Amino acid sequence: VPDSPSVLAALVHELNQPLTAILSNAQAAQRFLASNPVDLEELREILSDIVTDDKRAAGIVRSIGAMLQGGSDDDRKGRP
Amino acid sequence: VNAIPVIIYIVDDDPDVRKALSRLLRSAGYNTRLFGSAGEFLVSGEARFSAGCIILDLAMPGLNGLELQEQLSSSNCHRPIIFLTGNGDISKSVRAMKAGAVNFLTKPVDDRELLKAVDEALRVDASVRARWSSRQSVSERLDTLTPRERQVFEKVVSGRLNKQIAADLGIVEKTIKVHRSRMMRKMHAHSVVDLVHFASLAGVDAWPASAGLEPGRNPNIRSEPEREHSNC
Repeated sequence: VPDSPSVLAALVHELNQPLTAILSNAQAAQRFLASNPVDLEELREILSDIVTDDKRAAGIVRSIGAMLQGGSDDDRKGRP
Repeated sequence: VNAIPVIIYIVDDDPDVRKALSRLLRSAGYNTRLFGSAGEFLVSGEARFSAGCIILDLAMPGLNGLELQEQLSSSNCHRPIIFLTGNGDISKSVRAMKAGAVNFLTKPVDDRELLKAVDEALRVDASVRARWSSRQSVSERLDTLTPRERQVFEKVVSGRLNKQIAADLGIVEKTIKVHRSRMMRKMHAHSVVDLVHFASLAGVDAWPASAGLEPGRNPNIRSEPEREHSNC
């Protein structure tokens, strides 16, 4: 049986990483937009990374939700 | 102060966070270098030859941020450190600040907050470097003094008058004046106040006025292990 509080704490901590990346990427993009000329390639890469990190965060939130409902990983995979 | 490049070192085990922080700093005009672990950063010895600061994740697997801070500081690397933490651990942050971290920010970090901290860290770094380089130039000038001029230097910074120095060293006052003026010129000192300032920069203890009356005692020259490595 996993120690739920500590696993939960680790997941919450883990959630901070994509959130940090998203915020810094978005704010970097805002600053790059103010420059002249705007580096569109850079902006494209930033947006793509934001999408990736958002999905990563969503995955962690799903795990946290499943834990709070008391289900194990196996139970969750069995559900539709 | 000098032409060496200013680099912001980002040490974080999460590649996405590294990349994003680096972009943010680049968008503000800074050069960055990225490291995935404290060990990697330490081994690279990168921070040794550049100006700048370190943005360090507190909770990394392997050598953690606090341990890296300790290792850098024990190798006399006083590059300012900005800690980033996910959970805002108070006891760890107090420890980091006491060990000389210039700032402690919580993830996710707002751009203005981070850039302000970087700006402040770079100012700290510049002043440490300025003090270091003036200290180095003082010690270079000290090295040009003859043994006699060096003795006169030590006597003057300890507050001895020419007549007293002449008696201390057993030479005539007129000769002392010659040594003294050469020493002042070599040290680029315009006054005794300048000289005392240089002495304290170079770690030469000035005699207290009362101790100056004791014959045969020499001012201590403190050894400075820092001298070799503080450029890191």
